[in-house]
Amino acid sequence: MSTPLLEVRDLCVSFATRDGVVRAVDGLSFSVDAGEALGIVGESGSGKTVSSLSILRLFGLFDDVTLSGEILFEGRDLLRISEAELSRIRGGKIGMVFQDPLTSLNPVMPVGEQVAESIRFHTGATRPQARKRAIELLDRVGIPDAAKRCDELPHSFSGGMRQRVMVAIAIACEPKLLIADEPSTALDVTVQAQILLLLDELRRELGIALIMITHDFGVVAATVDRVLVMYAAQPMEYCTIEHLFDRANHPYTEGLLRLVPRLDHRMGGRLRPIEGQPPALTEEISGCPFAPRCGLAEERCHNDRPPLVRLGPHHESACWLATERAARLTTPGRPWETPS
Amino acid sequence: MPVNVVDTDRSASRLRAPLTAVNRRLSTIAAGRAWWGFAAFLALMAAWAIAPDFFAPYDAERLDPRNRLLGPFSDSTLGSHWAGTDSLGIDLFSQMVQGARLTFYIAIVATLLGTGIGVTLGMLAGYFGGFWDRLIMRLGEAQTAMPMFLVAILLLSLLGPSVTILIIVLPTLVWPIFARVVRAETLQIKQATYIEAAVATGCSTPAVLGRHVLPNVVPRILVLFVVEIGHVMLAEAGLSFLGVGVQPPDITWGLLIADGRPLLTVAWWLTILPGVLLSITVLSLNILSRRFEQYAGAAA
Repeated sequence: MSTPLLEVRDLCVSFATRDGVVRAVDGLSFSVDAGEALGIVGESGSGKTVSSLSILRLFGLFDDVTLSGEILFEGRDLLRISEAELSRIRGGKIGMVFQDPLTSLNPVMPVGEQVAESIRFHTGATRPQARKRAIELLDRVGIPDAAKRCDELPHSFSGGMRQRVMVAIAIACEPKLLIADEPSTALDVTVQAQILLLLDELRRELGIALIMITHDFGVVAATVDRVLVMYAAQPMEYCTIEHLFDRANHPYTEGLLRLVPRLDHRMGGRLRPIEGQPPALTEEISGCPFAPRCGLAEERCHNDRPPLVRLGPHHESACWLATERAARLTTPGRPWETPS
Repeated sequence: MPVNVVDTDRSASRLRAPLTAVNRRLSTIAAGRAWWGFAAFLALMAAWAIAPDFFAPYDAERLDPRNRLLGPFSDSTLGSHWAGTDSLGIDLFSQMVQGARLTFYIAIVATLLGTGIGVTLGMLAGYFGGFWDRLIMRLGEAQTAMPMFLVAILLLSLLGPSVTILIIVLPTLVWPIFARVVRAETLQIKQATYIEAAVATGCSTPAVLGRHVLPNVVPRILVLFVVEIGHVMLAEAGLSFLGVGVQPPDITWGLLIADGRPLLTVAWWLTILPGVLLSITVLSLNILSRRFEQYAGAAA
């Protein structure tokens, strides 16, 4: 098996704050092959954004961040290379799309210039060359009348259009990997679909690998091949998209899926939220972080952290009951329909 | 991200003007139509500075002992002197026109230097924080706390008064204000997602500062720059008045005021007229800067 494009091994990220050390990511491992799409799913504060930021070490504002583990990209450990080397990778080999398109563009710089900037940094193109390429890119991501609009400031673009510009910036230098951090969260539903479709198209067309960070299973279902579910800074389950919907193993994943409203459910049915709150990340968690909220929790769940149990070539679950549950679920069935 | 409470005081005019009633009045004037008048006045002063020979009716160096200390609106053998003449019989109006150039030159160059220093240091302090922030801001505070005017007098007396020394000394009066304002703005801007996005596209730190942070503080710098020209002009006039600034035969308005002082009881116009000119100029700069501020505020 060839080496993956990006391999994250045992990533831990913690921040020193006034309230103590916050462990934002705790023992995360995953890999992405060239051209593949991985979804990272979790609720707010589960560490999904922090793990994506740590790939490019975008912690400029936090002095007190501690990173450990390895992030291997094309054989180099991004956590250990110099800032200068990293800035060649940022935007060059790894592109990034942020959550809020309204604040992600510099308000006083024309959008074409912002696309061209990245091109000039990474390819050494001249201004006119970069501008020409920027117009092509804006046209490609679906900005109408790109040649004219590239001289306009971001405020004259709608949210969806700005996100398209962000995508254009991210793919400007034909990166190997694109990290999209909730790219559709701040947008209207119809625009969401357009952006997701655009990302999917570009990924297939340019062979870019994609890491899609989201809390929306609909987004995951539409765009990715494999899914990593995170909870309280830790990985819970790692599986293919088919496995996620057909045989989700971890009780947390199951709980989340039960919360997705379904068209084929009878009217008046209730969505059952998972009881309780996620643990504060400042506390030391000894057992499974989900144990206090888990209906199936046993003694060992509270005391010992469960290992990632390998259930198949592309399926891992961090649960003491994983094997048992996997056996029960091998018959095709839908986890959200099983009584609990 | 903890933000220092002091940093929220972003308005330079608020830092500089404790006279709130006057402050409000000036803002009202700036908001109305009258600012055109002040802008036109400044344009005239700029014209004086650019082409003094065109505006000055007489040679500002030619002595005329027969027509010494003529009052305003008097005539001599040369013609009318609407601002009067000084103790050597030189036409005061011509001197005021000739003085505009050096007055503006010193004020603008010194303010530019101060702006450059203040903006650079303020941006570094705001962006990097920590040690550099503390060092730069404490330096600025130390400087603000010291009576810089006295330090300037000391330096100028030691090094000897000259226009060059003046241009080197005056920026020290203004850079801490620019540093403080730019630092506060930078603290805010650096948290914006577009800065993070710029880093994520491979921008180096100098590129982030120069291309993304700086353009976003330009409006505020511009506002401050205009009002600080006035302050520097006053400081220069003060130093020249005390005899440690510009020396004859150079002319600035401050020097004219100083020259007229011994004769205040016999020839009031020698002091009052250049003083009024200086005051209106500083006031106009202030009004214009407020107009910019209001305009920038409305645009944002």
